[in-house]
Amino acid sequence: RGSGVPPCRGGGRAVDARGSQLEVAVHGGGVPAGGSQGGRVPGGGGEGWTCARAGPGCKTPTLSIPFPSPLEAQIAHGSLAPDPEPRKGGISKELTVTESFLHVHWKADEARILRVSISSFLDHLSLVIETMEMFGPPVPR
Amino acid sequence: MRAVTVLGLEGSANKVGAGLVRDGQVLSNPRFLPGQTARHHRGCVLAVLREALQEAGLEPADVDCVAYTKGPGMGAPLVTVAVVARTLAQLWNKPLLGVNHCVGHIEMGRLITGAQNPTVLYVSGGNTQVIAYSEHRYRIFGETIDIAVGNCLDRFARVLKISNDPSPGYNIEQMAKKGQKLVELPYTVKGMDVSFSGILSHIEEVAHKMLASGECTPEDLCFSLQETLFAMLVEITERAMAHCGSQEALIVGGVGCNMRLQEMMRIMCAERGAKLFATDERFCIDNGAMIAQAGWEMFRTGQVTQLEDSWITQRYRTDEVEVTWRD
Repeated sequence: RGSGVPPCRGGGRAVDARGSQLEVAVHGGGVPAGGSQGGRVPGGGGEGWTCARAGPGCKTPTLSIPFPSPLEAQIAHGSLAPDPEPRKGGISKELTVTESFLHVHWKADEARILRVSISSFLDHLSLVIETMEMFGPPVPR
Repeated sequence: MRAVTVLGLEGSANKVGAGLVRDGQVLSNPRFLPGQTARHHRGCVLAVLREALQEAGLEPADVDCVAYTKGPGMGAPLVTVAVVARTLAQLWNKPLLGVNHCVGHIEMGRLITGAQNPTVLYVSGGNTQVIAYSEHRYRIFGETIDIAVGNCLDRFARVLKISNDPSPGYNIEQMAKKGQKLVELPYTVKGMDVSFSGILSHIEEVAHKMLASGECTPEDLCFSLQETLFAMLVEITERAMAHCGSQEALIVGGVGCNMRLQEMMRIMCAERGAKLFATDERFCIDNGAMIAQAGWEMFRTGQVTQLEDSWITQRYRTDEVEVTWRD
């Protein structure tokens, strides 16, 4: 996974929380977030980053991460949503869940602030996934 | 009533610990020490958690609730540990408990020593407070108005290039034992409070000069600094004890490991006909079991933390907590 702002160019691998590797997708602008297309291809990937407009320098990316089930996506949301951004201004992020996807939408004033937030988020996401693998699946409700 | 087993996760500074406590019994309490903090925690927290379960001989299903440090402390490591705690609580479908780090120290001190209602001196790298319980709050009677006493010691160690292994405070303590000369240093008690940044900047300024001129040795400086800092702490603790008519004093926090501090406090207590309680390094230094113990107290009086309220906070005053488990 790179540490810079993901450039909005085509190609790359999907963000996938189902395996033990967290791989970050790099997708061009105009590709909708996975959940809105229905009929997912198992193991197909294709989800990942989208931007409000194509091209580098996008400061409002959205990241969509598939989980094995809606419950696990909800759990990830529960773990990652409560803490505020450490930086008091210039960055905000919103986490939502649709079906088995966790969506993260950032709004940043500057690329460097965005980079720090994304990097930190990916670290925590990775930790959540590792915890789920070690102690999951979730107990039946 | 069925026994309640609580898992506690701690990582507010540079130590990461996990502990399992069942009805006042510490079943396991492994801890990992210094590294490059947030990244280090991220690599360690699952490992120390697994070790805690293994050592206690428990399975996740045996855990009744998950307690973690809500604050105060450093933001990055707090989030790392909180994220794991929230995930576990949800995976296991068990209640979550956000614990105040200072309250964790107090509750573990009370449990281990059996002190009934002590005046507490909480001294660590990040905190210096004198606390007494009254009407469902741990009231702060006195505190540092700038840096913590442990912070002062750690930064002094850097001035003299004293080793960090196992910790600067420990090494200062060993060197102080060989000190022969008491060097006069600023003494800054302000009413019920203390200040340490002045004595630190003073000693940073004069240390090299005094050592170069042969006026004193590094051991003399360590000795003098400890004597001065600890006398200040003894004074504000005594003041609080006099105010409360207290017959017990309890030292908690990493600096509480220091035997000279314990000795000076013991002397003051004896002079007042009071008793001193202190723990050893297993519980003085940040650990997971203390979070589990405070969590256990909270849980049995019906307190629970909802996910949306589980955000971590770098500032969290000891007196903000509603101590529902004491009269």
